[in-house]
Amino acid sequence: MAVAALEVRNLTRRYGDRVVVDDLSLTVEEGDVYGFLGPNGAGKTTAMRCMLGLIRKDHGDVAIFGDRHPVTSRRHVGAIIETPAFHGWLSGRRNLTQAAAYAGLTRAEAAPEIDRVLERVGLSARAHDPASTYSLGMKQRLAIARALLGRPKLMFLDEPTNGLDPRGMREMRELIRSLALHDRITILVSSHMLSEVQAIGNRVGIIQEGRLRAEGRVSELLTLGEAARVVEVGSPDEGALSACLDALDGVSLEGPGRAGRLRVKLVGRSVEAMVAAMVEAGVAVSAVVPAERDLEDVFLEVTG
Amino acid sequence: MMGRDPAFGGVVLAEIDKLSSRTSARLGLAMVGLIALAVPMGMLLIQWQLAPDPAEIEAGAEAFAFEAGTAVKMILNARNFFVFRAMIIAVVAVSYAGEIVGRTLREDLVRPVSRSRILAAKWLALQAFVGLGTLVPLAIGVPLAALLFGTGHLTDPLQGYLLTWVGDVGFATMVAAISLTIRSVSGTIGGVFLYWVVDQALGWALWGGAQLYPFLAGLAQQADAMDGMEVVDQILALRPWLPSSAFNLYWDVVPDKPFPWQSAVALALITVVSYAWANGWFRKMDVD
Repeated sequence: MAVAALEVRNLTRRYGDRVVVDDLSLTVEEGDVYGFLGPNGAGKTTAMRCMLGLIRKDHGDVAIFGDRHPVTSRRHVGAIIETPAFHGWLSGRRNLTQAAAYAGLTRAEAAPEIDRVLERVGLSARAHDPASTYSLGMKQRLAIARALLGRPKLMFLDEPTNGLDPRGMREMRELIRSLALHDRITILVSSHMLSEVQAIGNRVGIIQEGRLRAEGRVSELLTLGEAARVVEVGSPDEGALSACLDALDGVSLEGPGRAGRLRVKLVGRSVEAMVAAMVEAGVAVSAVVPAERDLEDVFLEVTG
Repeated sequence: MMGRDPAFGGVVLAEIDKLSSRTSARLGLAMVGLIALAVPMGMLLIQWQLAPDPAEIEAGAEAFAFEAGTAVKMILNARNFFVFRAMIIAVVAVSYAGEIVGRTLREDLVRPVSRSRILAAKWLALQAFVGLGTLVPLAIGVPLAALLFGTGHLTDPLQGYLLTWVGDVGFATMVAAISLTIRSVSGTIGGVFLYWVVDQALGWALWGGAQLYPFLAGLAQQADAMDGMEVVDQILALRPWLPSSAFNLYWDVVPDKPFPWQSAVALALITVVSYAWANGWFRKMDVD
């Protein structure tokens, strides 16, 4: 059986009487892009800091590729926790030279590796400028470059798109996707940007008040708790459509859908039976489309 | 390259490289270099003012002890008159507390290097700076003083430089412990200032007590209470144990006087205890 990239068991962290991370257990398999979701203040960053040994844990166990040692387990890890920090007076390249020593690279190995990671994040042209002159987006990319030093197998990304403009967010999303696909890096990415995680993640865990509320594949979670089927129905005669749907048993009108369609929930009645009933009632049906559920729906259901 | 444990030497070199790029460190070394240039030149100027005729310079040098050894010693005294210690405080504040507050330390802590090793690397880098702060004035001052005043008593102050370096090692370690404990740049400066105030107050109190001692002893003798004076005597004997005496060991080591072993022991204790405290504190500290 393959060893999990990250296995967290019963992780707990208190600040005084307040339990910030509460008996948290989660598993990130190798190859996952795992979305670690939760509202602001849910305990995501604290949990990630505990996993990385930045802050003490009161209880629990963290294993990275099976290694539970607090220091050696970080051999395969790269991380960005919140806003990345740099020595502003040093160039981007020299910041990476500093980090390379901590990543276990010799001076001879560091130079080509730094070239590689700078190229990877598209910062080669500005590598010799002081880090203090970088924009936030450039700093985020430099942070990714730093995290890539030593070729990590698991990367922790805490709110990597925070503060970025739409273009920067998109570039960061593409970069993360590319790291997973081309560099084959397992990624744990925390975010409250649900569309972002849905776009790049294959598995998610939802945390609230320090507790894991749901965990699973994105596709599974999108159908989680879906006892009824939701579809959108369109007709040239919206009034007749609305009246007909309202009169049908096993069909409840949810409200407006997209492109002028109506959103309905089917409980105990199939789509085919609903369409047949409408045709029988003389209502022209122009479209029946499955209503898409997104992570936001799941998130709101799970977190209340 | 993947998943390898970082070499400790590489981490130390990275810390030295970083510290040497800091403005405060460069300024500190530039200042002691400047002192090493200015003091002999100033002495030469004074000598020339006193004896403007070049033929009299040699005689004047003898009369006023304008010789190389004096110049090298005066460089040391000027360097030690708060200048370099102030720079040590500045360098420690930015490279310890400053890195915690600025969150750059966090970036190192997510790597597979233990906190004890990180602290050791930072401490060694700091001591490299302290060592350079002693070597630079020596490297500039000795040849310059020899050039200007000949080689008279040139090597006499070398012991003072060695003891200055040892004292600075202890002082820097104590400041590092304060900085890690307080975790604030201004707090580091304030904490060291507080230490200095307490230390000076104690020093002056003990000095004052020593001046009063004969008078107090006379009173005690009259009152037939000499037993209490033994305790007073022991308290007054604590002065060489104070941190300021320990850090300024170079000042008290003079020919024909016994070696201040109490200060040497105090310095060793302060250094070891400060380092142990810093290490213990750093290992359990939360770094956001």
